[in-house]
Amino acid sequence: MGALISSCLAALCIAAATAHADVLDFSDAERRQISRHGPWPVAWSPDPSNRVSGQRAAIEFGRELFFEPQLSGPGTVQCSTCHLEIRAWQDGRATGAALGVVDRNTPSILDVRLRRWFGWDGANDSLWSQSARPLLDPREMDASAAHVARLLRTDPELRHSYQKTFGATPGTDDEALLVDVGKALAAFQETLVSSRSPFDDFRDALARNDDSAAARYPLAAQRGLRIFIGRGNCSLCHFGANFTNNEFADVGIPFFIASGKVDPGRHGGIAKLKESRYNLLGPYNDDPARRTATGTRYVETQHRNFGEFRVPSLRNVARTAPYMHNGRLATLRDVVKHYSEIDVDRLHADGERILKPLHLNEREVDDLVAFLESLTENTSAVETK
Amino acid sequence: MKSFFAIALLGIVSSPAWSCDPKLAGDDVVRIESDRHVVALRARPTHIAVSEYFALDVVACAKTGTAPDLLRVDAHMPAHRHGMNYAPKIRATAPGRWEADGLLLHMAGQWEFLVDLRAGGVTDRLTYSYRLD
Repeated sequence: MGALISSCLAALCIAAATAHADVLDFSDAERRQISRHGPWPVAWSPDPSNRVSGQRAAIEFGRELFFEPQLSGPGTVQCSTCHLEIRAWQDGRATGAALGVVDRNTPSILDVRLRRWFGWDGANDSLWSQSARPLLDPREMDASAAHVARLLRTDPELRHSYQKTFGATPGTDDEALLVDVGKALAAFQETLVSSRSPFDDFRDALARNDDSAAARYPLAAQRGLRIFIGRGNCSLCHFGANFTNNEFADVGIPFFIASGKVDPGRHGGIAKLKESRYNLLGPYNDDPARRTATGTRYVETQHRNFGEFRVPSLRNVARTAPYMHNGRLATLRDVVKHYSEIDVDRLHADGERILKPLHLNEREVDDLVAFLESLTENTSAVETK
Repeated sequence: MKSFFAIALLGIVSSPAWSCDPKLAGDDVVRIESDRHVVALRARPTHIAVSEYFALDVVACAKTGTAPDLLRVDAHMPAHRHGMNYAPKIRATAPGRWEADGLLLHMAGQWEFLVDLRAGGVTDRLTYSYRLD
């Protein structure tokens, strides 16, 4: 009997040792850094600048509008033309195309509620103002406030949904109705939240010192994570539970547009933000205290903003190819190699000194890609092309 | 995320004598000085988090001579060669007391706060090194 118990204990010890051997020897400092990339999901709170944020009727109305082609000028495209659920709510193209082709990549709108700035240049400071923007762009939906307002007043179903959401029939102010459409669209998009990923399970297991559970996370991903939070400096910008500091960076991607124009990025975005009637300091913010307007109030244009673009979340990044603000990089491997061999001469001379060539070897590139792939939600939809 | 206080203790220990005493209540107060001025700083909220807005309460006094005006509060990362993306606005709340609102440190790492005071036509820059984890 004693021998049997000893054997069992020995077997358990071996099993435990094997399991723990499958977790890298992360230091306490590394574990703290890893812990900061969670927990996930982030608690939801309504947007105070949007009076219908979180309301069921608004979410349903927003969903209806999101898939409504009549919102576009010619009645042929809709929000979901570029934001396809089956492709993590983006379109898989280098640059977006609706009624025309735009200069920038269509971002996923998963977890969009967590952003501080919207668009690659951050020209909008609320999800509702960002949602109204493509309606007015001739290359996207080519509508107008008058067109949207007329539709709300005349289409029986949309009119009914509007009344149910906002408690009144559509009024006579076209611009106010356009903004209300943006707010309903925002309410719907706030519900698009990534599910948990293998990384989240690993992060939580480490946080509770459960190395047996943590050992289920592939070693390649663990090695990639170590580069991500360590010598790669990736987590400086891709910070926190949503893997973004919600700010902007110049990462050495050319910002020349094919036609010879230059995309000014954040530099132009701040200018558009400041002059917009739809910003959070304007008349359409539903929050009299302007609690979410701090950034708009204090952001200032700097020379280094030229060619900076929003730091995107990395959640579900494996599902959102191609990459960067102009879709220039086709695969995650291309992205990792871009940073590994980055041309520092492309960066602003007066800009930050964070990025430098990492000269990763092939296994390290694989590891970093494995880590990025582990940020894919466990219950993701299967893409069919 | 780190409390200002963790660093503030070091400042107090290394600078035990103040020839003027800027009064600012709370445990999380940082004091810095130059040849001419002493400044007390307190962050609101107390814990500065990466990429979250905060404000600073600032109280300053002159060791000798004219009481200073607060011209500017800023922060930068010397190693990265970048500052903040925001320009805090300064509001006087009482003689010798100000509130700087709209600060945001968008990365973890070593930052340096800059406090520019002006008295008698001369600008005096005080700095405070701060590690944001």
